[in-house]
Amino acid sequence: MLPYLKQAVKNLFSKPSTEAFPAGDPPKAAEGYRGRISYDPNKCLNCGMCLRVCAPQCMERTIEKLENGDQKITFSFDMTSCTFCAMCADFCTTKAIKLTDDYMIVGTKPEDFIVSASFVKKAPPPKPQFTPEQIAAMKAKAEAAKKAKEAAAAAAAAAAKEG
Amino acid sequence: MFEKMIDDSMSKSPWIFHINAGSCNGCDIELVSVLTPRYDAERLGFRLTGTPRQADIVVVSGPITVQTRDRLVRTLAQVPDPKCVVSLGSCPCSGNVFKGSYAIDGPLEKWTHVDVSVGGCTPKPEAIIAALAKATEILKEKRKEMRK
Amino acid sequence: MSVLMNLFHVLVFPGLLFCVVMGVLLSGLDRIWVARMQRRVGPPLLQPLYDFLKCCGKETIIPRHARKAAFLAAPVVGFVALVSISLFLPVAGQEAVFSGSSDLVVILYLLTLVSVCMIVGAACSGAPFAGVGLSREMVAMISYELPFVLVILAVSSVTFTVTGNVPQSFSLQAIVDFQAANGALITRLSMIPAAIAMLLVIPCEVGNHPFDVAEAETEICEGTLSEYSGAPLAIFRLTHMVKMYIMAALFCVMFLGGITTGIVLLDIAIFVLFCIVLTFITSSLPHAVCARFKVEQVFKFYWTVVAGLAVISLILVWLGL
Repeated sequence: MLPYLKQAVKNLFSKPSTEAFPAGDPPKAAEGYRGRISYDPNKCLNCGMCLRVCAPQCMERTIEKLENGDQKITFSFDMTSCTFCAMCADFCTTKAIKLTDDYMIVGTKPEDFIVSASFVKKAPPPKPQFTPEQIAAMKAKAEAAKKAKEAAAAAAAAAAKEG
Repeated sequence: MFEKMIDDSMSKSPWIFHINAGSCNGCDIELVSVLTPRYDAERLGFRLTGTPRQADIVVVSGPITVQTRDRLVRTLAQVPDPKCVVSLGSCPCSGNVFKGSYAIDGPLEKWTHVDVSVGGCTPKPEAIIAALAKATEILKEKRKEMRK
Repeated sequence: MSVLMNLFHVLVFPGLLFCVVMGVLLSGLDRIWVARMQRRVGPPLLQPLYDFLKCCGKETIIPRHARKAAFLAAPVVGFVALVSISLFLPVAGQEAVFSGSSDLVVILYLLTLVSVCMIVGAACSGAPFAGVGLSREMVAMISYELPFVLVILAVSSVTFTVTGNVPQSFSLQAIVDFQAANGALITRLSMIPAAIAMLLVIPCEVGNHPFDVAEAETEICEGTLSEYSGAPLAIFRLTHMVKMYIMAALFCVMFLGGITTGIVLLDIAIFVLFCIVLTFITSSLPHAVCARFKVEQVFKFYWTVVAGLAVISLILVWLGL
């Protein structure tokens, strides 16, 4: 008991080892800390690999069809559901998902915990539309080109015979 | 004047009661570490009580398992008003990796009103302190409302 | 005039107000010191007051199985009994308000009444944890009562050599007068073991950390207080704080009495300083250094070591040292 007594009295006159946190800024997290997810929609390929590897199924993908045929794809990550295992970041081929060192995941509403972003996936270009006359003309053109090709081939064969 | 003093001291002396509703013990350890010399929540007046009757802030950790559900509801009913419920970690909010299990009857929002949630698996002690500080403000507001 | 004077004594000094102020001060200082010894910053000095006020502002729940009247009356009776002790103490060179013969015995009974009120309150709350807590509180009471009585016997046997009158030798006023004439009792060789025993009795009597077996919050859910909430709990907390002051004051009167300068305020300042130092020795140091004892360890410790010290003191007095 005596060594403890000595230590206690010594501590009485030394500085407390408490962090000043609630007064100032929160201290920085350790290197490699896995905190709040950041998602860059411009890099995303929409491969869906993250959805497959996520154990607690914290992410949701909604596909919304726009009027011009494009697709608006929204990824939302629920931070109250995440286990911060970083599997999604490992499997992301373009590194669109990253885990930042922001650990202050505190809020009073569910919206405070959603990390969400969306991007627009362009539809393939539309097929050109032709009238029947145009089609007939194009067919005739193609026929003529074919014939000309055949004629040229025949001429070449004849020249080879003669030669 | 006396009433105003009580209002002021409401946010200065919040006592915590901790319910483990099937937690893996990670969040429980981090909650205790809030009271260690490094983080020292006692300087803000926090104290860990052993009984729900004396609690102001109820901290719930763990997905609500079927076995703990009834006890959780009963314990929450024993806390005198004004009270504040803080859900600690990802589990009580959503079920985390246990989501969809037959043994889970969550989330916590289904059984009580959650005032402050902390995300993280587990949250850092700084985040827990920030959440508890937010809860004390809510506690003060609730006391003012209760008086009216 | 005398009615007003009595009212002043009961309500202000050395009664209710002085007790509460000293209780809050000592308990706040104790918490800060314990924090500093554990290298923490510690709560503000008025933290016990905040705790008290907050508990007043909470809803009071009376359990269904509780005996309502006794459940609510127990804390109030205990608190009143405790504050009335302060009227028997001739603190800081002042005469005690209720001075008379054998008042040490009255103090002993009133101190027991405080613990008994806690036990009654716990028994009336109808909770199993409170039941465990009250049985532990009883064991703690039995543990510290024996050495406490022996210490009181040792102190009064010193004054008995002068007064030659048994009821008069149990009077605190006589003890203080004796000390004023012959020097403080702690300076006598025969009284040093008794003083150490009294210092060891104080933390258990108050229910402070290493001996708070009855309120072990981690094991038995606050024990005796497990069903209390709101204002009754606030009064129990206040009782605990005031008890710290009362025990320190009792030690001052019994072993450090008779030190007067003639100026009232200076006397009070010296007395407050003594109380603060005693709180540091009896509450803060054991709290920071020791872990909580088991019930049987408390019993063994008090009935062997502490009671032994008190008996040694009695023998030394008998030998005339």
